[in-house]
Parts: sequence; structure tokens; C-alpha cells
Amino acid sequence: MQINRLLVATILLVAGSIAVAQSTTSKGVANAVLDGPLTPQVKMQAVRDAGINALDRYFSQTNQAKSKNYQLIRDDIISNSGQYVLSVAVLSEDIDGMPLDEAKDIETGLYTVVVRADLDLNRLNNELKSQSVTANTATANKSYMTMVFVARQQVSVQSFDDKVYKRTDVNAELDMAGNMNNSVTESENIHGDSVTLSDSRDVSGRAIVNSTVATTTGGSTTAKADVVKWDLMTTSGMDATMEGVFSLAGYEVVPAVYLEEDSGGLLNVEAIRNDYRTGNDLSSATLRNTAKGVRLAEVPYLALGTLDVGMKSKDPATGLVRVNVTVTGKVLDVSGRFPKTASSVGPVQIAGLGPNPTVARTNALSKAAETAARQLSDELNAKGFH
Amino acid sequence: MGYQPGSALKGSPLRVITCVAMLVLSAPAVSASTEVYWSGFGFDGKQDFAAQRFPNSFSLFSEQEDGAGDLDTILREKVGELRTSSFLVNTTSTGSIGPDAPSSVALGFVLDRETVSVEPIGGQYKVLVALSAQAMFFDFKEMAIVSTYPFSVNYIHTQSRQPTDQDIRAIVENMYIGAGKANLFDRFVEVLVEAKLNTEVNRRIQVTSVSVDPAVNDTLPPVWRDNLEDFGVFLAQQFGRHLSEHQNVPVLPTIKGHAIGNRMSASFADGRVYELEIPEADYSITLSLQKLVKIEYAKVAAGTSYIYGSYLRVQAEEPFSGRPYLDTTIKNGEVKKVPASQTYVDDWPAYQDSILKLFGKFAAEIDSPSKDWVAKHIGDPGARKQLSAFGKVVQSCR
Repeated sequence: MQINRLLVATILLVAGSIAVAQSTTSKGVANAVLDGPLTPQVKMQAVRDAGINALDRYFSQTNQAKSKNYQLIRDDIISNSGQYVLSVAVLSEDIDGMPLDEAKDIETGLYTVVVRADLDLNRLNNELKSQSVTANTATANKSYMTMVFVARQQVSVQSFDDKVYKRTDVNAELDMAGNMNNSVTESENIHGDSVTLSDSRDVSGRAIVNSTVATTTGGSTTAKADVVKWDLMTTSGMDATMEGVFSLAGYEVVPAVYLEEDSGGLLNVEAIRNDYRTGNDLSSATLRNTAKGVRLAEVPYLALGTLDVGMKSKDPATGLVRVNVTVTGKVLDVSGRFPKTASSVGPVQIAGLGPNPTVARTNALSKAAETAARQLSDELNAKGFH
Repeated sequence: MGYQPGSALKGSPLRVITCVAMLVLSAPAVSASTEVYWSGFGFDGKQDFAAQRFPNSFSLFSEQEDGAGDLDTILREKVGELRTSSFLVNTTSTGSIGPDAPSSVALGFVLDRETVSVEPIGGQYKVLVALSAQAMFFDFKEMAIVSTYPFSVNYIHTQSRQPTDQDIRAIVENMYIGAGKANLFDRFVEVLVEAKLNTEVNRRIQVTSVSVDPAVNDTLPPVWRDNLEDFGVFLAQQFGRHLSEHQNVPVLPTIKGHAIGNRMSASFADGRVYELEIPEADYSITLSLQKLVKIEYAKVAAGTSYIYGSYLRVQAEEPFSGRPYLDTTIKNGEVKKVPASQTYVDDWPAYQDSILKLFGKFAAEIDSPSKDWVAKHIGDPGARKQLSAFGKVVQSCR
């Protein structure tokens, strides 16, 4: 009996992975070319390869930065795949498309197995982090990071009616041409003592009038953007979520308020919050001062962003309250002469559900904060910032 | 003398006691009951469609919600702290969905049908009110219906005048909170006492798609004809319910809807439970309701018998690889006798009966399809092999 596995872990393009509660599952497929009966050894190897394929598919569905980090340590992970793939359930297997019980006598052909693998996501994430540039930097050399993320909700929107200017130009031309003939004949007959007078008049006239009126209508409509005022919300829970993600990624996170003094007053959290109260961007002065202040405090990374809470709506399927949060953020590297963007995220919309607006909003904010922090830290790691 | 494990206790009474203690400690818990968290009264399908689909029940539920005699309170009192050999109902506290939580299973009363039919017969009006519900166990860790026990209660009576909306509503109310035998809540408790809870989820099966042939539309009652998508969800949930009931397999719901997404989620303290999504199915089932027919079967002086037939195409596959397991059309006929004195026939309840019984017969037969059943309900003997293959897939989900 001689069996050669010629093709292992055929990579298909369609991936399916899901994350539910505490477990994460992903599906994978593997093929083996048979040159003899299907043995348990071949089957086991194919199932193992399908589990590895499930791992690959899981990371192909994650963000680009995380996927890149995975590629860097993929060989290490698959050499110990048993630690990361907790279990596999065989969903289908066949030889050349025939069910196994019908293909018992087939000794050559393509054996295909599809599995659903349970992945230990915590262990995988820890492994990714342990291999990251940040994790491999000595604690003393680890970078500090500070962040100011603002959660806000619209309190008023001042909308302006469109300003409409209309103009009509009328250009009228009149061409007149005419002629008139007027001939009069008078005669006088004198017979004896009578005199007869007669006259005749012949009047004829012709007139042609051509008129042309050209009207040109135009104008313009000027629309003015809404003036939105935001109500800033408590961010303690959200800050804790983001700090947790950045800390796990290997950064030493310092709450911004503790840097105000070291920044010589240039970093002013309240000024940042005030700017975000009325607009989507910081004013030039606030941004300049903040970057300068953070550099002065010898903190190389500054994370800034907003989480905008939308209006609540009713989820038609469940009857629950639905709240959307739009998150936007970036991490600036302020260690150099000029600040530069090290990573950015958004705008990304995240929805939260709950039996009341408070629960729905908390769910949405928590998910949005975690999504943003993960995306930012993965990108920092992928780019080698530490 | 060197140290030998256990040597100090060898032959002593203390050693025996220690061994017994170790056995007791290492044995599984004495009670195998799983704690399930009570979630109360919920409606199958979308919340915003419940008022049309269950007009009388929804009205009762909404009006009495949080009131002194609300349906939820009455139902909870009837369930009490029910304990069976396989589960214990917790009606007083909320559960947890964390990894260390001993149980993330919610139990709910899920109303899935309210059928009202009024037919004039010989100067009288025959009133039929049928309420159908499920005792549903839903595991939020797996996001799957781990067990479901359907039951229904019918109320039939005749009266001399055309029943008003108030008459119908009173009947429905009586079926929930009245003292009569046709009481849905009492039936629910009876079903629970007999229920066996299996929380194992090995593989996930789900009805992922339903289509209804346009030719069927004219046969549907207005509430479904105007809401075909919701009718598809209804068929999907009913098919899944029969599969779970007859094959004792967990099924993924087609949608979370009011019952799972709202009421059952509220059984857990962690607000993140509302965010949990239904996972991807390992095996998907596609249904297509192709035809509904009404055929005169027999006619005598006393009346006429009609056969109400339903034709359903069932396809099943493993969606990741696209490997098909089943593609066949099954059919079923149910007889309805109409007395000669009956001047109007309400066809829809009979069609619905034909469809739902087809689901039930298919689900009951799938693990070992007989030749006779295949001949009667499919016609193609070759389909038996497909059914057997699909039956094995279903069994692998147990």
C-alpha cells in the first residue's frame, strides 16, 4: 500500500468564519490524492490540514493588519496547530464527489474533507501579540501612548433653508416695415350756372411687424451646511475598553489628564473636548498645541478620535431599541520633527441593541471602542511602531 | 524503606474512606438538571408583524403587559420553580453568558400560530380557534434552539349568530387564562413536565431559504399574501420546529425575532446578549412551496370530502463545499369533510394543516425512510437513497 499525498490544504477563496460568544469557529477544507485505499492516517492528516485551512480562512476575514501579523508567525502556529485548533467537526467527506460508503472500493481519486474548527482565539491573539514588535521590546523601551477619545451625541442640528437667487433676462426685438399709398383726385365741372365738384381718394397700405422675445432664466441655490452641536458623554467605560486593548497590544497607556502638567499646559483635554463639541476636527491651534505638548511630555503616540452616537430606532425583528455609533480615530506619531499619522480607522458604523436606549448605546459604544482600538493597534504592530 | 504512593494508608480503614471520598468527589454532580432561565411569553417571527399574525393574542399581551393580570405573570406562576430530571426552571434571577456560566439556556413560551375560522353551517356558525406554541429551549452560547416541544389547543363551538371580534377575543382570552380544558398555559406546563433537555450541539442545521411559487399566492390568506417574506419565515421556523421535535436535534432559528432576540435575551444579565448573532449553518435546507391544490374526493348527500394537497421541494446541502445531500419534492394530502349545509368553506386552515403535517411526516421519517412512505409522498423510489443520506446528516447533528 503506498499512498502519496500530493495536494494538501487546497486553498479555496470562499471563507466562512464566525465568532459567537466565547467561541470562535471557522470552516476549512483539504484534499488528498489517493494512490490506494483511504487509510485512517491519510484521513487524519487531511483533517489536520483542513483545520489549518480553517485558521488561514479565519485570519483572511480579519482586518488587513491582523492578517499581516498572522502571516509573519503562520509557520510557528501551524507547527503547533493542535494548541490553537481545539476541535474539528467533519461536515462532509467524499472521494471524487462520491460519499465514502459508496466509494469503498475506490483506490485512486481525490479525497476531500470539509471541517468546522473551534479555534482558541485567546491563545491565538496572545501568540500574535507575543510575536509583535511591541511585545519583543524591553519593558523599559516600550512606548507610552496617550489618548483622547470623545463620545458625543447630537443635541441640536440647525438646518438652513436653501438660499435661492433667480434671474430672468428678456431680450425683445421689433422689426417694422411698412408702406402707404395715398392718391387723391379732385375734379370740377362747370356747366352754365352749375358747378359739380367730385373727388376720389385711393388709399392702400401694408405693414409688416416682426417681434422676437428671448427669455433667459437662471440663478443659483446656495445650501448651507447644518450646524451640529454635540453633547459630550461620559467615556470612562469606553476609555477602559480602549486602554485594555492598547495595553494588551504592548503599549504603556497614560491617561491624557496626567500629561497636562508635563506638557506645560499645551495638552488640554478640555480644549479638545470643546473643539469636538462643535465640529468633527480639532482646530489647528488645538491640534498643534496637543501634539507639541505630548511630545514635550515624551510620549511618542497620541490617539485621537470620536464616537458619534446616532439617533435611536426600533429594530423591526425583535422590537428592541437600536443605536448606531460611528467611530473615527487615528494615532499620531509625535516623536519626530513633525507629527505623522501612524494608523487610522473609520469612519466605521457599529450598531447596538438593547431593551432600552441606555443598554443599546452602551453595547454600541463598547463594540465601537473595541473595534477601533483593535484596528489601530493591529495596524501599529503591522507597521512596526513600538 | 523508601516512599511508595499510598503505602501509608495501605490496608487501613482510613484508606477505604479516602477512596470513597475521592470517588464521590470525582463523580458527576448528583443532579444532572440544567438550570434554565425563564423568559416568559414571546411571539414567533418579527415583532413588527406580530399584531397582524396574532391579532387577538398580541392585543391581549399588549394591553395586559405589566398589568395586574398580565399573561406573563399568570404564566410564570403556573411554571413556578419547575424541576424535572433534566432541567430546573429559574424564574427569579437572570443568567450569565460568560465562559464560566454553568448554563446559558433560556426557556420560553413561544406562540407560533393563531388560527381563527368561522364557517356557516345550517343556520349556525362554527367557530374554530387554534393556538399553537412551543416550549423552546434556546442556548445563547451556541445560539441554537437546543430543544423545542410544540403543542396546540383547539377550541370549537357553534353559535346562532355571526361571532363578533369581541366574541373571538373572549374565546382567545379564555384559552389563556380561563378555567376550561382548552387552556394553552396548562398544556404548556404539561409539556414541560415531560420534556427532556439535550444541550449538546454537535453540528448546526438551519432552514436558510424559503420560496413560494406565485401560483400559491392566491390560496394564501391576505395576511400572508401581503407579507410573503414573513410567510417564508413562518414556513422555515415550522419546518425547523418539526425537525427538532422528531429528530431531537438542535436547529438554528431562521431569525431571532421577538421571542429569541427580545424576550429570551432578557433572561440574561449581560446586555451583550442582545448582540449575539445566529452562527453560520453547517448544513442548510432550502424549501420551495410549489403547489397547493384542492380536489373533490367524495360526494354524498350529507356532504363533500376534499383533499387539500401540498407540494414542497426540499433541498439540503453542506454550504461550504456546496455538496448536495437532498433535492426532492414531497407531497401530502389531508381530507376535510364539508357538510352539505355548509355554505362557505374556509380553505386556509385546511391547506395549513396539509403543509404542517407534511413537515411533520417528513421530519419523522427522515432517519429511516420506508419504501411505502417514499412511494406515497415522493413517488420516485430513487429518492429513498437521498433521504437516507440526508437522514445520516441530521443524525450527526444530535
